[in-house]
Amino acid sequence: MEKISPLRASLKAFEQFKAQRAQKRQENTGVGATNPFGLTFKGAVVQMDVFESQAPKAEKNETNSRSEAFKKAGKLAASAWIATKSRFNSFKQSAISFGNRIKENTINAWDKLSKTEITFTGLFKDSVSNLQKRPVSELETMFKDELQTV
Amino acid sequence: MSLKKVSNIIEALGKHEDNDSVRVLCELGTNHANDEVRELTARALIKRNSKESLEIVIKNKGKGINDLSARVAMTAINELLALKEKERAIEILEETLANSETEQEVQDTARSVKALMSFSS
Repeated sequence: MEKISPLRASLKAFEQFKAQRAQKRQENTGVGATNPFGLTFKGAVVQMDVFESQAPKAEKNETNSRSEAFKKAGKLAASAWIATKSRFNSFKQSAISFGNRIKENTINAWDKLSKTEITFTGLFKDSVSNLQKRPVSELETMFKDELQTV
Repeated sequence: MSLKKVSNIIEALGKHEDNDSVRVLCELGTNHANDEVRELTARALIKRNSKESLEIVIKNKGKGINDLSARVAMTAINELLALKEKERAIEILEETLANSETEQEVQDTARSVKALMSFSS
């Protein structure tokens, strides 16, 4: 048996490892993977498609959220506009009905006034100042008559 | 029962220039059965503030301050106390007290009213 020095032995082992690695590499390239890094994920080679840059994604998300926000704002504005419109409509209607009511009331009052006759005859006939001007004898007679009804 | 017209007539008689109105008030008003009519008459006579009208409500039994109805008597006393010129009323009250022929009851009332009037003036 020939004697092998430890240095030689280690060199031999390294060459063997190197050969094995080269063989493995060749096997891997034979599969046709385009992964330049040769990374594996749970044994399977990770394909190139997986590597997508994060920047455009974020941009996409941002644009999406912006458009959604714009949509939401638009909806809000539309609903507010409709509410305002309906409120204005109801206000308009109430104002019109109020005006009509006032008009009717005025017409009724005017009709009543035109049909009413106001006479002041006899209204101040029995007032104190008027009675005071009459003679006592007349007042005495009136007093007697009135006391009979009491 | 509306006493509006009666009240107006009594007031008109009370303010009337003719002194005969006092007689009418005395005969018809102060002798009426209705308390309210007597009350209105007493008030009108006192407001007139003449010697004849005040004598009716102060010196006569059952009239004015001597009325059997407490309400009528109190109204008359209040009206006397409310007078701006009380001299004439006090003079008649003193006459009533001085007159020995006047009934004791009337004199007592006159004395009380006089005391009240002296306190209020």
